[in-house]
Amino acid sequence: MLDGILMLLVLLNLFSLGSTRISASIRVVAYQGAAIGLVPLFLRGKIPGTMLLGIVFVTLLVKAVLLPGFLRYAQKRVNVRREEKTFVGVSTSILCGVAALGVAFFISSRLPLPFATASPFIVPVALSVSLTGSFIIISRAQALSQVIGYLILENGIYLFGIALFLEQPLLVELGMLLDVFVGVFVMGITIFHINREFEHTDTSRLSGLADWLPEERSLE
Amino acid sequence: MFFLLDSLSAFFLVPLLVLSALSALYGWGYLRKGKGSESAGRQWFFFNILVAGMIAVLLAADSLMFLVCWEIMALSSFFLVVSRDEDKTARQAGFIYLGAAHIGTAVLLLMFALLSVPGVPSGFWNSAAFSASGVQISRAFLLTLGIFGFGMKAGFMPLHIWLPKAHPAAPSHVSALMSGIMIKTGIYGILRLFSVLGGGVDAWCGGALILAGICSGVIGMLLALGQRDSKRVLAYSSIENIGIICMGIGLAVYARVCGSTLVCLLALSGALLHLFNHAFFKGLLFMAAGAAAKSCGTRDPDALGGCAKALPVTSVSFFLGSAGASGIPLLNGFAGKFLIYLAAFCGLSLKGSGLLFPCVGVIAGLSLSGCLSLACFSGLSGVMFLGKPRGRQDVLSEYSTLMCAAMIAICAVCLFLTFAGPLFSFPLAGAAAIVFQSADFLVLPGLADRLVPLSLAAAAGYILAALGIVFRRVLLRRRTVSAVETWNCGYANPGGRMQYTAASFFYPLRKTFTFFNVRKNAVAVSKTAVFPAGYKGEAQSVPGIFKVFLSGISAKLEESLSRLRWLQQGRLHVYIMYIMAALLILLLWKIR
Amino acid sequence: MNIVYPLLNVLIALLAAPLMAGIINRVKAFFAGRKGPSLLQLYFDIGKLLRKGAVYSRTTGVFFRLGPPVGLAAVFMALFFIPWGAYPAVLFFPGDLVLFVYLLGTQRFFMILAALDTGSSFEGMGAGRDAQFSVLSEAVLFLCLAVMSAASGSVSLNGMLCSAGGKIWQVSPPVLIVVVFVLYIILLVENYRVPFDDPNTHLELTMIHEVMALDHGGADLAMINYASALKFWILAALPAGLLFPYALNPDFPGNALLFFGIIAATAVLTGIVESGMARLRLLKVPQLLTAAAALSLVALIFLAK
Repeated sequence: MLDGILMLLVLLNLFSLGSTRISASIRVVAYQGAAIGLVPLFLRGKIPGTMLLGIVFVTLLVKAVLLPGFLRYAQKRVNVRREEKTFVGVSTSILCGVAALGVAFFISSRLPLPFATASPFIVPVALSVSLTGSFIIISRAQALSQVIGYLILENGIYLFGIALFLEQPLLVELGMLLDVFVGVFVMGITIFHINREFEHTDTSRLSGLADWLPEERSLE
Repeated sequence: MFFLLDSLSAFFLVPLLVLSALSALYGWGYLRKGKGSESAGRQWFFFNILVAGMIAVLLAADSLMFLVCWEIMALSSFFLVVSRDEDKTARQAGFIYLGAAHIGTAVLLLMFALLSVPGVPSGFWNSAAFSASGVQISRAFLLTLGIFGFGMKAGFMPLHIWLPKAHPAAPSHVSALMSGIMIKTGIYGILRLFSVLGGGVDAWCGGALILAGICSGVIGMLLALGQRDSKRVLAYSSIENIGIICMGIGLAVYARVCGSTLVCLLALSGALLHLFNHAFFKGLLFMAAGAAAKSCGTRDPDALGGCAKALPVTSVSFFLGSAGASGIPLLNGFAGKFLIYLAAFCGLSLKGSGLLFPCVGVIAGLSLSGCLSLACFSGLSGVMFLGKPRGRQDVLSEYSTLMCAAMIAICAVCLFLTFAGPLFSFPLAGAAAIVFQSADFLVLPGLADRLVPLSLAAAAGYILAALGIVFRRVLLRRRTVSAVETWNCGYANPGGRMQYTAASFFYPLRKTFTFFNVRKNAVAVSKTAVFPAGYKGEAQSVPGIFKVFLSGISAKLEESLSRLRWLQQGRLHVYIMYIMAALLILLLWKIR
Repeated sequence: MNIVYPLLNVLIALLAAPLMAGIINRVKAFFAGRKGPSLLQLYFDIGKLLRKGAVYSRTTGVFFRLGPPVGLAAVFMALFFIPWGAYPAVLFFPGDLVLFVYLLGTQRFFMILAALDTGSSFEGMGAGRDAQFSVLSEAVLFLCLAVMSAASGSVSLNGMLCSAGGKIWQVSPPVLIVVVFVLYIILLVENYRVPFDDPNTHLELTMIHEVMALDHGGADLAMINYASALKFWILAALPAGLLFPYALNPDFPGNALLFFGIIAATAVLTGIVESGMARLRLLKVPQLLTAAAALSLVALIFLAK
């Protein structure tokens, strides 16, 4: 069952790489958050039952309901439907996602953990989710896509944390969620201000802000 | 002892002898009349030297003899490539070919120098006593030199630059021989090097060959799509088939290191069998393309079309060759690929060996390149021979009966090879035993039982197809069969130029793989005051990545070497002084 | 008794394949609120076409007339290598999966030649697009077969789908679910169904397979339609073989009926997909096929652990 959830996470990665529509990406983040929220139920840990259920409930609430909702609100305010400019094509992004999965498996085989995890796939999948998130940040130009990439990256790190540090859940959980919340909050504010100022949220055009350019580059 | 014949040489000699005889027959008809016939004497001279050189290369038993014959082969083929020397592209192609061949020979010279042993003046090439002679040279270095030098002749990526220029420029029978046999001597050299090194080859070598094979197979075929010269498409297809052979050899090496003898035997046999079959169907394709070019006057597929009824022998030969090149089970191109696939799948199903990723790479590479070649050849043969004529075509006829006879003979050979797969099992096992210097291969269960189902399947395919045709004929006997124009949505004036061309057929494929196929569209509009007068458009396929890479390197090289320009004085005395100075310095060095 | 059951299954396939096309059309009609053609419509169509004469274009030659019989022969031969649920295939040898895929490729080769022989721009367009899709779909099919081979340890279709006796599911269920999904996508591509091609329209802009058969008529069209139906059955038998519940007693004669039921369910699913989805833009098709290739690679990477 855990293997099934991990496979689903990988498939959601590929789906987020393959679609350029912002609303589809937000839905992917929501499903991924839901899947990751359910992962602690399948790990065998020494936590009493109620605490575990509390963790799961809070994670699901934040990752699957609140954050995607906030993103949808931001999308409506900024009125961006799809990603017009990706630096890498869709097919190439998908193949890079598969390559990232291979690299993650290779890294995890070289860095074995001192203790056994519930499934041999948790560490590679967590690494691949983080790599996918960073790839989305690098390859997309819209500010909202950058936030989505950042959220996927945090999903991966969170999965990694659950797999390893289930003994001290409270600290880990609080740190993670606070991190995410601050990131989204700051980015949300930044997006609103960028949009208000320039009437678009295309981050690749931010270089137009510079007074001094290395060569003559006209603002389009 | 200069010459030695063993199983490996014999396996390469058989296609050489048959193909050179048949291409000589073809060449007789090709050169008898028309444009090329003035230089016929000169061409036959170099043709005979080329064939003799290739035979000697395959039989050579020591290094010096091998190198001399290798150089003879390169020089005679150079003269054949530039035989139409009034054509500027042919001259350019010849020079690039000569340069590439000599770079390869230089590297091989270094390799043979390292392989030589004090006491034996010409070094070992054909005997396994090399390891006993105690030469302490890093095997990795020798293998790198060997693969580079022989690869320059074989033409896998990235050492393939000369192939698409040289093979179309030569006359068709020479192209058939060059594509069919000469590039295979490079593969022969690599296999002989493995056997000289005692059969123990490292895994990185196998991995490098697999990677080179995948790149050649896929990228080579992608560059073939939509070329404006039919012989150039065939040259790129040769690169693809060399890639398939490299994949087989690389997988064999890798499997041997991982300990699986069965996978090794299957992969190497597949590579060798594909080599054998490729010689014949590629020879057939070049001959048919040359015959079509001679009859119709142009090599551009977009200017041809509809010649199948007027040129029956040429078109049937081209279709049989295309069926072979696409790897259809009904012709001989399938057996070699089948064995390599079987080796890869066997490697996959053996759990726990390290063979997973090489096997997956081989399967992906083979399937992509196989499918691309099916698309390319079905499109090319369809556009060239089927449909309506695209340009204005006078009454066409076959160019020469001798050429037709040669093509029919090779068709018969190809059909024979389709069913003759099981006959190869002992020669292939013998060749594998020599390459890896181990008698294990001779006791493995034979390849015959693996190839018999293919022959039976081909036979069943022909019988079932014939039954289908007979069934339809019986059905239509009592009914009316009439002939009309092709449906074209009711258009009043259909013409040949409305049908699909090769460029439009391959357009979806090229758009999917735009990374490799940069298409340059040059548009020139002549300007006038109010209304534009003329419009000229030109589209050509430029293999982009290599141009950028290589032109950058060559520009740097040119810049740094131009500082040595002062050495070239142009006066005879200065050059004699250079020679005397070099000899003097070597003498002083030796006696210090 | 050993050879009778497999031969009987092949006979059932030959007789029942056109029924699947009828099921798909009936499901589509149900979703559209119509009554729809009869379930046996394709049988009636083939019978009617066999009774007709023939009209050939003057431009065409031998290769136009070769296309349908050779295509049908190739697909007919491919039928003998598929195992039927718990019964082994009629013919099997190591490596028959390669022959299987290349027999489908043979059919495509001759259909492209027949299409180009007419000298019509419609058929050339369809042939060009068919060539484009086939490059990617055949590579994906080989990757799927590679996953199945690695999971089952066998190099024959028979071994992968039948003799393993359900062992293949003990390896890794999520991996095989992904493989079944990718095999279904390949089924849709190779049979020219929505979202890759729309078998209902007969305009040159939206079709790939229908336009290649535009100039064929009479017995030729009957052979082409029958070969398409057989191809659907063959490609549906691959995921059906993976999904077949092997826990049942293999000697139970109802096994054949169960297998037939799974293929009929695949036909119903295809009808639902055709009613629910629109045809993809042609530019998106390679992206979808690359995604399918990526899925099989993911399955392989998970298997490698």
